[in-house]
Amino acid sequence: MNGYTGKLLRISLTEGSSREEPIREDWIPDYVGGVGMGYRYLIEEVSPGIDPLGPDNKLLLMTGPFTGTVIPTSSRLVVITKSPVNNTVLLSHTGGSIAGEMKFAGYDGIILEGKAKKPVYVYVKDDEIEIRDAGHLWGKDVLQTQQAIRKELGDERIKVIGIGPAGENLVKFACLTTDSYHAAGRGGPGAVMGSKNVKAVAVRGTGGVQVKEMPGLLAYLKAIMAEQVLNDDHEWTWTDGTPMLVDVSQGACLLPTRNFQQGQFEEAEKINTDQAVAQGSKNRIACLACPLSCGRYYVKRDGVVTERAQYETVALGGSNCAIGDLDAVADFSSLCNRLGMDTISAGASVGFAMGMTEKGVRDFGVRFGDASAYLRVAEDIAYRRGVGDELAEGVKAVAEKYGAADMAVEIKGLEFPGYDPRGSFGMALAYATSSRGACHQRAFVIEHEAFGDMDPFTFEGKAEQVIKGQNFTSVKESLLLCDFWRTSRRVYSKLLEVVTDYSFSYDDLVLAGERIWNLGRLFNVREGYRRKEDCLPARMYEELGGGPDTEERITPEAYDASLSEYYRLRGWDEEGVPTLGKLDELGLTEFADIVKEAKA
Amino acid sequence: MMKLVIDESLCTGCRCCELACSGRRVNEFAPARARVRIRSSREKHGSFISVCVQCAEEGCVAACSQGAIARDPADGIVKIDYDLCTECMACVDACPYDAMSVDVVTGLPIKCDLCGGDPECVQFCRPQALTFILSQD
Repeated sequence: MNGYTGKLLRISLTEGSSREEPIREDWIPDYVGGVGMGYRYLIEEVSPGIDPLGPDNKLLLMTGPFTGTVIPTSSRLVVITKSPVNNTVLLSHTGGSIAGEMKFAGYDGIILEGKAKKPVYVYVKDDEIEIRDAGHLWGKDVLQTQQAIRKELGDERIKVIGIGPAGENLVKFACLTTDSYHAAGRGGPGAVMGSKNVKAVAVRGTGGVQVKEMPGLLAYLKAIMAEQVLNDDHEWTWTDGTPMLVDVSQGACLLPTRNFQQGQFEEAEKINTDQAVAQGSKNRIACLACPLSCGRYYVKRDGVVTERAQYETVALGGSNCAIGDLDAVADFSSLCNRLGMDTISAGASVGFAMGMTEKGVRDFGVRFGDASAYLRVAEDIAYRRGVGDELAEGVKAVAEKYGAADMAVEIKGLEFPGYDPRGSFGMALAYATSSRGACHQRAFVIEHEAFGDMDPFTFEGKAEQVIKGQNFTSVKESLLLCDFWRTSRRVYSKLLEVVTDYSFSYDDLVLAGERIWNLGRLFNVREGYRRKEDCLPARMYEELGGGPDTEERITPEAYDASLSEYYRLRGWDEEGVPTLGKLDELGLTEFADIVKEAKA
Repeated sequence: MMKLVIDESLCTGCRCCELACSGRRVNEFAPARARVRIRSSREKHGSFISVCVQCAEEGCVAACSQGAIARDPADGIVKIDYDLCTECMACVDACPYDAMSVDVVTGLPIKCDLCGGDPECVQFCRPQALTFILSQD
């Protein structure tokens, strides 16, 4: 096949066996790749109500038709599973080079099923598959694991994606880490891998990815490089990287600070892009096939070199914990990466613990601005030591235990990322309607609001904007292209034409995006999700200290009206269940039973 | 005379060069078959480039008992004559820069020949860690 390898690798951990099977080519025209295909496999193969941390859950590592090619930003991997945080359909992306390596080994996807009797890791060397003992790796951090695997297999070019102690200990926000510091971070995919007694998947591929028209593809990419890739829209990745958002969020008064009590951090200039660039080393780092290169090494004051923390880490592990020291944030980032924890939820959880301690609700032994205690608590979470064991369950569970829901800033149990919606109302709707819980990546509507031209302090027009974003993202993530390459569905359509044997018009891609989004919703509806879960945490209705200069507030009435508008524009009923008419329109009628049961 | 100039301090490790090279030369994106290879080291905080710079040492030329590798006087590019090659791989071993390799599909030794004067890798190297030089001497 062209673009796709046409093969899927299925690993039965319970039986200790593996088998190769053709991918469902009949699904490609409707679901494109990565996320779409992964959703379809998951909803077909995982029964409703199963325990996400039990053997019946599956862990899918999926690539897209462009993965492994020289198309800009094309080496993203998506991990799809049932979320251990909240039973929703979980999608979690990472960069690095593991996705490309999977394609070179010959696979569009790898599905891990069942549960191994004892710790193992999976080694994929082209079509030779081994399930190897990982007893000696259990307990090691992510870096040590990667090094040990490469050493024992005698190949420095092996790519590894795996868990650290956090995943082994089933921390609810354990991630999968690859290439030292790239993470499929959100929603706890590391806990799912850990629950299966899998330490890592190691991949080495020596094959190639075929495309339909190689000279045509190379010529097209060179033709669009200046206008579509290396243009002004993308300059920030090269000059600053994501830390540039610190000043932008601070300026818009929505930088999460002190567990979302404030929108500005008085020490922001100590953790902003100027500081990051000043302490940056000369060497940029990029994912496979990425000319944008948003990563950079960072030199701490003591001379130690580490990967520079990305914006989300700086926001949640910096300002939200009132840590005005980029070196401390870099340490936090490295610690989380090594131990295998999502820096967003880890930062949010520690910030929440600081807030609980300061308010006297529960003493977690850590206060705002205490950089040494904060690193200790983060480590305790990964190892589930002391208070860390409580915090490892995420802020929602801890808040419920202590009756402190007013302090928990989460949706569906997933902690907020780095943009306080009180400074950009559309983000409230984007977070609340995101399938996996509070997440900025599915519809980054803030780029049109606080960071763009739309009025950020109203819900007017936001439902439509959120839907457009979600549908567009669903296609982009099925192609497994990075959020940072801002281009159009027309470019996607042209690329698909020269890479694959399929033809996707602009309109096909618009419809595919909506179809994929609806399939994700159907998974969640089947798990019992309705309107009442698409709600905001109490703190969003409180005044934001140091917030934007406006009288406008998010009110329950205004939010509710916006949610209703969102459901109506989506063709869903008032409970957020897709209508049979919508299913028919999208070619999803085989899932009509989910809708009928939801209404029964 | 034509050659590539390498500046490893600019390399981001994106390996677009490997992908572009294999795409153009063997019609598939296969880093294992590329004539340029990148190795990134987290410990050394950088990336390292292995590619032929058409060097003056000519270790590969000297190592070949069949006279299958020679510098083309017309453009200065060191080229392999596969009709004469016996696949002994002495050239691959002899290269002091680890710039030659063995194509995993054909089993033949491979090296950069600058795509005949229009190297694909350079066109995809955003950081300009690889640049192309054409000089009169």
